[in-house]
Amino acid sequence: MIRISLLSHLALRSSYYLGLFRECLFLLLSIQLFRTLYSGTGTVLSATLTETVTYIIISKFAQFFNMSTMGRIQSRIISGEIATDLLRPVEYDFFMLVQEFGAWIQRILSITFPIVLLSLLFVRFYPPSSISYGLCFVLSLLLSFLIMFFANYCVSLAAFWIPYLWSLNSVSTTLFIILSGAMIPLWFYPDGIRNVLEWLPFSFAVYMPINIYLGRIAMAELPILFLKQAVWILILWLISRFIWSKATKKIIVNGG
Amino acid sequence: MSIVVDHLTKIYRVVKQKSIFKPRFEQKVALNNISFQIDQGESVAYIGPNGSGKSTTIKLLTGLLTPTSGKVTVNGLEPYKKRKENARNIGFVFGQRTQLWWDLPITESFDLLKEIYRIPNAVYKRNLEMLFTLLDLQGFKEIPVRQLSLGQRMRAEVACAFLHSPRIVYLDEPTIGIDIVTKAKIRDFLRDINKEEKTTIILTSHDIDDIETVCKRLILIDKGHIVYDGQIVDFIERYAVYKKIRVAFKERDIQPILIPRCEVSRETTKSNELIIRYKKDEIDTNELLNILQNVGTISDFTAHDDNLTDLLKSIYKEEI
Amino acid sequence: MVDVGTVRFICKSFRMLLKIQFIQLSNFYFVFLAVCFTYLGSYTFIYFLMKKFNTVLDWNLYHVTFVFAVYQISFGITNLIMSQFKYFSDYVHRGTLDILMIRPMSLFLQIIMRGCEFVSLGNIAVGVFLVVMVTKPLEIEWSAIQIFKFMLLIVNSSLFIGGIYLIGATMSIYIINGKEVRDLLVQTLQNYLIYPKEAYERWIQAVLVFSLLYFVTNKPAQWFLGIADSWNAWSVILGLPFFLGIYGIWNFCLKSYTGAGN
Repeated sequence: MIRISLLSHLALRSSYYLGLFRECLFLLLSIQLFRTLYSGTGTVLSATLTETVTYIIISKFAQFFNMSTMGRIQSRIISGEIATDLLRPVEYDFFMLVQEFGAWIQRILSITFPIVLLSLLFVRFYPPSSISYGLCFVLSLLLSFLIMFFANYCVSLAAFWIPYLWSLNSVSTTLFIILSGAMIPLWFYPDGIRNVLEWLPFSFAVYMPINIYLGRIAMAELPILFLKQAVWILILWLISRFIWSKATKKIIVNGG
Repeated sequence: MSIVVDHLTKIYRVVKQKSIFKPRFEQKVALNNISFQIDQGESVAYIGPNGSGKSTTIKLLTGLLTPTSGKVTVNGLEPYKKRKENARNIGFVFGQRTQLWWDLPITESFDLLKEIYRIPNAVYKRNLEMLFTLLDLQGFKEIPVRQLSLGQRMRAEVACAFLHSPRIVYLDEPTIGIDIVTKAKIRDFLRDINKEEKTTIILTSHDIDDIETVCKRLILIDKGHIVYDGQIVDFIERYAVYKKIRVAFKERDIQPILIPRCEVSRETTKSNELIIRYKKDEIDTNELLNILQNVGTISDFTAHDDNLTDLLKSIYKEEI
Repeated sequence: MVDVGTVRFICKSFRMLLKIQFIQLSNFYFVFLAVCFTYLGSYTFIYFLMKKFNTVLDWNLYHVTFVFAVYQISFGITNLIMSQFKYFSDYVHRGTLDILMIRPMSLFLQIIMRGCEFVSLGNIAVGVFLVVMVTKPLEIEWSAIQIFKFMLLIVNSSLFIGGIYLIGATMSIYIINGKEVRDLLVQTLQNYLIYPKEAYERWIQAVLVFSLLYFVTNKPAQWFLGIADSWNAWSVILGLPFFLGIYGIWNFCLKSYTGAGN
């Protein structure tokens, strides 16, 4: 028994390094791939190679998927313990939010920063377009976090009706990644699709903040975009409240 | 089929310091030059305190470990060299781990084991019938294993062990955590099948009743050495040098008195009873009674020799 | 070694696994669809990129899609069969390994027959779908010889991936995160190996070739499509020796594990 807990300690450490290594590898190969792609094409694209490379690196700040609190919420839904949490819904929201925020900051510190610093040594990419753009980027990122938090929250609450957790989470995560531009910048998507996506909240989570960072958006337009982000947060929050009320009814009817 | 253990030694390398670059190892002697022989049809209790080398021996006998030096032979085969061949003739119940397939009823597990052990149809049918009757499996044979109680599951595990008419069966803590009724069923089954089929039974258990009901022979191992190897009755006779008497007095609240060369204690639940333990040949029972009569009026009196439980308790206690 | 009893064991085990899957049929459908969706989702990135850039060196969208599809099919097949090896660490640490080893049947076979992830059919479905889609653009004629070559291709890749599974399992014996290493090789790296290896810098190419990952799908697929030199035919038979080699190592490590004790 003791051996197993010792092993798991070692496993966590090596897990971390392995994860770091995996991220570096991903970055390295992606950048090289894009170099090759760009060198082969004659057409004019909406973004330069360096912009794309910067996007890939900076998007590591906006990794809002696989939120651990969601997993916990879902297991509590499945086990029925969630009933006790219903007594104080708004505080529960807030509590989860704070926890997830902490986890995100920790991820940034332990994984994103080391990788970005490492990239500084080996790769040429852009710093924020200007100080003010940089600050706006941070603001936007915080709003993005809220958007994705509530989006994930709504999905995890769906567990009340769809107990097939793996399927639910897998599909929603894939969907979010595609729609937000977390893997490749939205400017590579076909124009029609991109236009539609700009109306959905997800593009505001990754694509928009990084565009701000790169200074591809005029300063004047920023306030409207922040407003849009805020509106989406509100909408998603309201949806989650709505789902909660439906779920509460379900629990009361079924007895938990 | 006999088991021959000849000057068997097993030394482990234990990691003392976990470091990727220079891990430090330490030698731990699990078994130190032990030897014994078990013939077909014997029922042996193989016991000892925790860490004594019990599990290591079982693993060596089943072929899961290789000896550091010495030899193990089971029916002429060395189990670690011919593990699968040896496996055909042995059965096992490992208390904490299950042989059964979790999501389906026991009948499916038996069906699969039939193929794994290549059991002929006639033998399979006969054994199945016998096991169902003797272990009372009929009542839950359609229920998936994961929904069974521990007692039900254990009975099925024991059935798995005997399904292929093995010549030797190893049981490691088969009754741990089980209700008394099931324990009795399993014990009776083991004793009967040992008598009828002459299956060798090697039982490791911390439950003395298991041992006394099922086994005739006792091998006691401690810190890698065999401390005793012989019949249980002989063991009790030889080591039961102590006698225990229980004296009940009319008076309430008797204080334990000091008697030279005796262990005197008061029964925890009854304040008027004293328990006195002493070496048989050191104390004259008559003299003792005289002393006790001075303590108070004796109303009741029982005496018995140390039983297996007491003996083992004192041996285990010495090791701590 | 392979006698009637073994064959019957395999059949019965398989029937049992099907039975278990049928108990949770709705779950199976959901997961199957989720798998299809997830992997098609990964494909969309490839699709968008190739549509925008047209070529990576001399490969176009259809070449890349083909390699991706072949990999999906092979991965699906391997995962169908060898899924339990992903959880080998549990077998070791929970003691189940001991029980399996004192049975008169091959440990390898027993582990395989303990579980079958039927949802990997989703991977196969995605792969087959994509292969069908690129048949016309790549002008693949499905003659008997081509079909045979394709089978060879798939079998080769599956064996390679199976070998990687075994590497993960072997590492699990020694406490290292075998699972994550396997994930790294199977999921992360393979995503990049659907492009020509020349897309990457020299030293990465060297790593990819020496680690043999290049030969899992990339090179053999090239051979099939005829976009490489003809002497590449041998690259499609590397799978078997690789698998057998790793199998031997796995066996050896098990022996030393039991020899040293835990």
